[in-house]
Amino acid sequence: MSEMSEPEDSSGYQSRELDEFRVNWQRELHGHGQTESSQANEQPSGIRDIEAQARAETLYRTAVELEQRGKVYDALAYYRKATQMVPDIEFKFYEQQKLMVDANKKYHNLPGDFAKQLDLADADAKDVEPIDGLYEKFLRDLCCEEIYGGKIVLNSRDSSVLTTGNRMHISDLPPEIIMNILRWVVSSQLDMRSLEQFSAVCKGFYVYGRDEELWRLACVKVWGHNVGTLDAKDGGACYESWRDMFIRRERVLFNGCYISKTTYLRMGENSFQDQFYRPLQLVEYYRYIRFLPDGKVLMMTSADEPAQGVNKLKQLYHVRPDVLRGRYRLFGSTVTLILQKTQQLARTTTQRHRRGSVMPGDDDSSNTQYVIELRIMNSPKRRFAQLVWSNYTLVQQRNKVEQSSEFDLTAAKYPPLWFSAVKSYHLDADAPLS
Amino acid sequence: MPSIKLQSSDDEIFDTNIEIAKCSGTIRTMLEDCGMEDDENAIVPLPNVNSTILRKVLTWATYHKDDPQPTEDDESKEKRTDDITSWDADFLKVDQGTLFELILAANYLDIKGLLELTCKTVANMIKGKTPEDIRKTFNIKKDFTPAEEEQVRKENEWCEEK
Repeated sequence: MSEMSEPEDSSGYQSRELDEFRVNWQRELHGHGQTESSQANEQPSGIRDIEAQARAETLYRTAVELEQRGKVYDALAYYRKATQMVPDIEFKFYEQQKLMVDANKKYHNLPGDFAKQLDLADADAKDVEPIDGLYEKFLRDLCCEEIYGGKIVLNSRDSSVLTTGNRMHISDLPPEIIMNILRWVVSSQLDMRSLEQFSAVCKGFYVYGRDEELWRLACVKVWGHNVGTLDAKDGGACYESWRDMFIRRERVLFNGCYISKTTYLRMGENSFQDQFYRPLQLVEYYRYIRFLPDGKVLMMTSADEPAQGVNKLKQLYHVRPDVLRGRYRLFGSTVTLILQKTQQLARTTTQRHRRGSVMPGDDDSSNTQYVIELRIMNSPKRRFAQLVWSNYTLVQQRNKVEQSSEFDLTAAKYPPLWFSAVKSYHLDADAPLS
Repeated sequence: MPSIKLQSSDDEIFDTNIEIAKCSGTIRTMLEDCGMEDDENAIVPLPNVNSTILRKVLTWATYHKDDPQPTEDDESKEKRTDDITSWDADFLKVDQGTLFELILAANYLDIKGLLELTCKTVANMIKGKTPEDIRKTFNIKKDFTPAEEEQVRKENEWCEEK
């Protein structure tokens, strides 16, 4: 094994050397200005490529930023420059992003006990020293009879003030009732955010909110049969708790909607009278994907701005006709969606004629499925907040012959989807977590 | 119509239709196990429920006596509404103490529908609220030290809205 790892190390060393070289080279380039360009021809072509790529990358990054801010026209200029320098810059840029994410992941996948040694490595070390085992400490604190008197939540009402009516307090409810209420709080929507807010109320609620069974149920809902165990032996990551798994393992987010904005320019027809008149059309639309914890997914493309668009995916049981419904599954860091057009009219007619003369298998005759594969990525601010296209296939069944065609996933037409939280999705509990 | 007498903790007697009383799993078991169904004068003692709460519980049970039994059928789950009906919402316009007592009574009497309704109502008072909101709603004293509070906040940082 040790021999195997050697070449990797040396290549890593080489690339570091190259990086250093690139930095020096860039500095030189800026220092000498004009004279450099003539010398550049004498440089080995490999180094020139690296230099060009670095610059193209910067241009590309600027373009991406501009596009995300909605400045498409400005972005176009930068994209063009970048692709002129390095034609496959988009691919290279993406690969580099992926490397960064992978490195990040490695850090997060440190074995549990090692991470513990680092004292909750994520918490800032510069702040006050973290308390070891908050859960255990709170449990000990709550045993103090003088303060808590057998209960685990303190009443903030002044007991000397007389009030009319019933004086029962939430702390009078037995633990099994509180847990029942928490199942409703989390609900089948997996509103773990509300559970976390609950746990930040007081020590007693913290202990309730860290209940492993609640988090285990949530994990089972997200990953289904593939949920595995906390100390995955088959090369998977180790998790300290079910809560830890829920937070760190790749999944999609439920308390909102993934949105992408596609903007592209379409050349209009040349006028036959005036050769110089070439209309340009700016096409702009949004794609919305909303995942539900029970494996269902809704997708819609619409010209509506997100403020209106997200509302169209709010209704779960009476889905609008322009919304595609389907199911999804998580495989590692990819999510696979299978969507179907909602053909409500067609379906009712086939049902009506079911006993009639309709040919068997008739409803399969024009079956269209969209199979989408997206890679789950992190954004700097939020985990799993970005979905990057990796495959999009249209499967059509005509007369029992399956035809599939892949879409060309150009960055312009299929930009990554970004998550945005939608409060109204999780306002009310629908059904308890089970 | 066969009826039964229910006795609250403060010794009030409620003459109740037997079918309505049977929405409580606890009463149903008592009747069946003790063979009290045929006895007109039998009194069922309910030492854990006072008359105010028992009256409310019976009001709820009377209104819902014709509700279809919940099934585990997938199809019906799909159609279940998320909303609490307006009658139920009005019924639950009570102070928090009464709401908690209703929960305890529904739990003790084993009335699934009422327990679900009341727990869901409390859950909706928690959902989407900040810790400070929750403390205010339920009169809860913050017992964290500043350092503890900060650490809890950090542990929960992953789901903060930005």
